Amino acid sequence: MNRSSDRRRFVLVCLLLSFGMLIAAGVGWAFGGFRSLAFHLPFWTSAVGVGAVVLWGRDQLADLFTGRAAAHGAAAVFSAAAAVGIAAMLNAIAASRFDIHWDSTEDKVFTLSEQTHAVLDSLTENAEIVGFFPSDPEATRYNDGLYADHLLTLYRRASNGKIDFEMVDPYLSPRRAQEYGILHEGVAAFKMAGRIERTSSLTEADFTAALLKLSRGETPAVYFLVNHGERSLADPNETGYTSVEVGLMKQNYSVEPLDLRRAPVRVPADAAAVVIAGPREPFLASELNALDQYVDRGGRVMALLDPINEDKLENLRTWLKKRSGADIQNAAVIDSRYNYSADPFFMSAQLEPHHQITATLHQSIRSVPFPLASPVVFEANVDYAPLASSGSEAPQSWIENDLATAPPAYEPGKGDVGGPVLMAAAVEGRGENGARFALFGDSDFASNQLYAYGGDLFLYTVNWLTRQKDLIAIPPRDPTQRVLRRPGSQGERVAFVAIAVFLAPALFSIVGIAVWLWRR
Amino acid sequence: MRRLTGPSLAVCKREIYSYFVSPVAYFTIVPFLLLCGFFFYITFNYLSQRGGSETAATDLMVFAIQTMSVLLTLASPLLTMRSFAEERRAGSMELLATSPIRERDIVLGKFFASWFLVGAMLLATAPYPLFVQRYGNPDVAPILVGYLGLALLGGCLLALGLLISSLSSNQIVAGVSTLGAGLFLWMIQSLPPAAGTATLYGTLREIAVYMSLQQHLTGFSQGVVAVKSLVYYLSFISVCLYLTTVSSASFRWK
Repeated sequence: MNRSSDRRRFVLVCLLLSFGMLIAAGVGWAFGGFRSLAFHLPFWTSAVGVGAVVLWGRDQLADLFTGRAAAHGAAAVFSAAAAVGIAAMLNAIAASRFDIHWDSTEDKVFTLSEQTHAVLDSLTENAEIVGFFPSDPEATRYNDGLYADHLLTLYRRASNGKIDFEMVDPYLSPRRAQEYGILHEGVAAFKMAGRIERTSSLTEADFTAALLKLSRGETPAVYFLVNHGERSLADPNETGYTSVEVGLMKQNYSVEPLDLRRAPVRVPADAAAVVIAGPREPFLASELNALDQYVDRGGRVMALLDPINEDKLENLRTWLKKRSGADIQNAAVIDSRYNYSADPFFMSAQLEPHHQITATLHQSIRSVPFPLASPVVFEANVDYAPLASSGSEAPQSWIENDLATAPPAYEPGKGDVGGPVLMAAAVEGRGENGARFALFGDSDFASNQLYAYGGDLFLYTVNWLTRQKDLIAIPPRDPTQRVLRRPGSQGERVAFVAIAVFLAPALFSIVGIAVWLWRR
Repeated sequence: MRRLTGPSLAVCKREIYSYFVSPVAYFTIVPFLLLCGFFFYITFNYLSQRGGSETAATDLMVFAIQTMSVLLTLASPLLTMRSFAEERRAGSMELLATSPIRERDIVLGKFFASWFLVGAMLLATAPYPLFVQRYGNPDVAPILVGYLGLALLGGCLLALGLLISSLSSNQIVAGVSTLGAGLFLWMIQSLPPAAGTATLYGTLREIAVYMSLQQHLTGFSQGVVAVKSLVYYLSFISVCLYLTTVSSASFRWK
């Protein structure tokens, strides 16, 4: 009798254990996949349990369900186990195969941009991403790891299975860190077809740029002309262009200086674009000849020319007019309506909403500061796309030809032309090979001092020039400010404490005391 | 989960009445609101003094919701510990078992009554977002989503408490066990770190973290509604209530 009872108990335990292990295997499969130990371990344990029942407990199996209490008990146990099992499987499926989120924040803080979606859709190969972050909550970069995990989850979800990622602690797995060439924590490594791209900046733009760079397998080169007094990529001061260099490198460009006065006098074959940023000294004929050859090959030129008192750029202006159709005049654009400075020549250029370069930018910023800008003038037969103009008409805005006299005044009789005045434009399809030009009457807007305002306009223009359309649409994140101010007066502060801390508890206490008294 | 029908509605009303005529509701709600208000006030003071933070209003509400979740974990055992344990101790379980009301209706009635009380507790915290609205410009939708998460978390804790109460005839034991289980489901997300998510321990840790009630609230508190979190909370409540029904039904045939 006792042996039979023991065996019945053994069968029940085996069955329940097997059932539980089967559920665990399902969950292990959902989280770790078929090949994971988290699936195999419980699955085979479950199989062993069922095998044991079949071998030693067949007769006792029927006994389990006979007798009123036994039948009720067994039914209760199995229905409870089934409920837990169904819930576990539902959760496993929801977590691993049905990962949908609704982001209720106004700025869509937890949603990837359309541009990133476009890049993910265009991926032709699978990518693996490994985030190397400390898993110790006390570590300085622990929170960065949480953020990277969150961001990478969004990428995985949006990639339709093309992206998978894991988080690795470089201190606990130094071999993995070595495999990916990781020297310090806080780095995400993107791997595609054997190529590895690393980024330590944890923004969507950086992650997307890393994927883009891997999928293209190349680094477009942007050359900046030097030796004519241009903006310097090495100058970290307000007037320098170090921010431009960093911005371009973040978008996968290699940035190189180009001295056409030295042999070989030609634009390198790998040039994706040539930038002439604020020159002040004249160009040699040989240099213009090299640029000519580059444009004939379908080159991309970005010219940014400021007004200068002693103009030595006549030959460059003539060359630009000949090749692009644009005359960047040595005059100043005045717009008193959009002048937010004491300097009469300062103005904010209004962006055009319809061009590919400025359309996305226009959604977040309407204007870019142009501290001292030249007009860009086209002849009637030239096909061009305006990018930025002064926002007013004469007498508020005009082209001032007299740069020496301040304050400037609108004098139509002396050759001043009324606004609105074009200050930046794009031209494409020039020549047989479809050269592109971006022409700006100002180079200050992208300088270190104003990069926060005009940097995107510069980067988007380079992207357009080099046909990197998928990078153009990255909308700059400008989350709404959600500051808190303190209650002003002493009375307000007292009211705050009284209502926030004491009002509701006091009301419930009064009701409680009233009920207690009533009950007594 | 089923709709509240006639018999369960009657049980629910009776339970709500018994909550409010006994000191339980007041001894739970008043300390909960006092502590919530106190933490809200000191955090408001701290964040508004910093001056420069561009996300202070958001941070404040995220913190307030997280604080309320911890306090709910501590308060919920007080609401559920006597639900079935007291019936067993007082001998009224026999009456219920022999009454025409089904176990399912009893369980649902008791659950919705305690959930109503949690709803009242959360509603009493409404001045916090109103204050944030007055002294800042919060994003309203994530706050509502945060409260939805809190309500669901409260539902889970109550369902768990009812299940444990149905297994015990001593309400102190039921209360302490519920508190322990609630804290366990909170702390489980703090398991020691794994070397990587692809290892066995990493996978098991991922599963354990997924089971943490508070971990799912993080998304809600930030304004993100994840289907997996909804599935987790609702399935957790459903399973606990079903097991409570099975447990209380066992009284008939034991």
